Amino acid sequence: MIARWVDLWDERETAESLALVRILIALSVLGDLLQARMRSAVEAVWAPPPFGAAWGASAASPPLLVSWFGTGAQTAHVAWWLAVVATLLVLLGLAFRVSGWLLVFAMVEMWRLTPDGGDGIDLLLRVVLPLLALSGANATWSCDAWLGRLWGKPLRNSVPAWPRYLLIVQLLWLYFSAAHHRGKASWGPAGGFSAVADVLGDPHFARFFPGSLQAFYPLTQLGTALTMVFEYSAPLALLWIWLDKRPGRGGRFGDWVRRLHVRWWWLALGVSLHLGIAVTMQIGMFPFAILALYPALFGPEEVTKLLKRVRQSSFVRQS
Amino acid sequence: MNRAWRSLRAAIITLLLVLGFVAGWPKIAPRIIAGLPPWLAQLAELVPVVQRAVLRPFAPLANAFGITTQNWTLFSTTGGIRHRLYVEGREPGGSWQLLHRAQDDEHAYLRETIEYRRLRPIWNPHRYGLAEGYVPFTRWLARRALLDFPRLERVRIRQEEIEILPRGAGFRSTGHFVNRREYSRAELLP
Repeated sequence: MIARWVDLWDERETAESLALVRILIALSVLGDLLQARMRSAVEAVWAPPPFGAAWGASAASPPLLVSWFGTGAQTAHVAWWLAVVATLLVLLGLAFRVSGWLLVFAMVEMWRLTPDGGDGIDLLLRVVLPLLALSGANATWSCDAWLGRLWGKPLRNSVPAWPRYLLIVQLLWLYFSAAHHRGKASWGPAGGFSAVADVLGDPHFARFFPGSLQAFYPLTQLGTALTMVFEYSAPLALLWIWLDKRPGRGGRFGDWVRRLHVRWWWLALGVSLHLGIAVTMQIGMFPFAILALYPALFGPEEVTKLLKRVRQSSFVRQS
Repeated sequence: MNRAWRSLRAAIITLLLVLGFVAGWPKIAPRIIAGLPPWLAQLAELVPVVQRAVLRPFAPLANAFGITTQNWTLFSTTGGIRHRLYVEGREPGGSWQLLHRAQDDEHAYLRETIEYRRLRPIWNPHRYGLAEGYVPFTRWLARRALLDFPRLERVRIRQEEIEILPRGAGFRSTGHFVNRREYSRAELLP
């Protein structure tokens, strides 16, 4: 049993899934940072008072950026540029061993400057980015791999799979935890599944004026119910993944799961819920950064096959 | 790879998973504990004690990475009484003028900035009340408004309690304001 457990964390695979997560996470973070700049929010979020709301600058042990650059507005711009440069390097997979940790450092410093700024996605990134930095996510689709080939370095045919496995566990735990924290009746039948409609009635979150989507109330009820089903069933995704990975296992139940593509239906539900959130609520990068983790739920061979299919279909359309 | 290293790595990962699991034990609200049978209530009260004891030795490491919890409270409270942010300014001898109000196109001063997702949790009250950054945020916002509108003498920031209406019908104003902060030009721009 212990030997199998050790073997599980010793598994290796090609790097496509992790590389895609790296690229998509970096795109999400970059988009968010550019939003901060375009919305003139850089100083408001990360500059120490009175230039901004970064009250963490006056903590007993202030962020390193404050020690180095002082308590002026320039600290906010240094933090922002540091994060942007690190994110770009991670996106390109350039000097990833260093840039991955540089991005971790930037995200932690930003949190220290404004401890209650941001939301759950920032916390999730502070968990996910160190895992990515430790992974071989730069072994493919990266400048590091390209430069390695150019300089005749031996190709890395495989990378450790454990960072991807931990990303899966983290994502599924996030869903399950979110579900069991929703004690309010509005998330269940006793409250008429009204939670999503309630959120859309909150002027601080609604993308459209509250009440303007009232005609779609039954749809929001369905969305609430499906959200709870999706999130409570998240731990089962481990079973769906395992059964898909090992054809012939799981007996008749396994056959049934594979034949009905249960994992794919679960994933499609997740994607559609996040896209629904992105369309109807103003919560920034949250749905995109979560979806950026979805490639971790696929094996590298599946990612390659999927991308090949996408390329072929676009080639067919073009020709 | 060295067998000892492989085992050590598996042990570290196992420890991480256990710590993550413990950090994710849900916070049980006192009102829920009050409704439990006595033996279960005692057990529930032990949860945070055990949780703190297990996590304490690893807190410096978690703090270094800014990993504060594994409790994911996403939209855990919805409906009921929510809030609507108001930013107002007053010229000497004048009355209060509305500069910004959430979801109000006619009073949209600094809307893009205020509604940026990293700022919203600072001013939008959550299940445990207001964020610690609320006062620094209001000071920054008031200072910015005083700089942008040189004729203003005072700026106030407050939040109207609103009631979310059933069946997706939007919200209703209550006329009751909370979390009010008011600043003068002399105070912020001496």
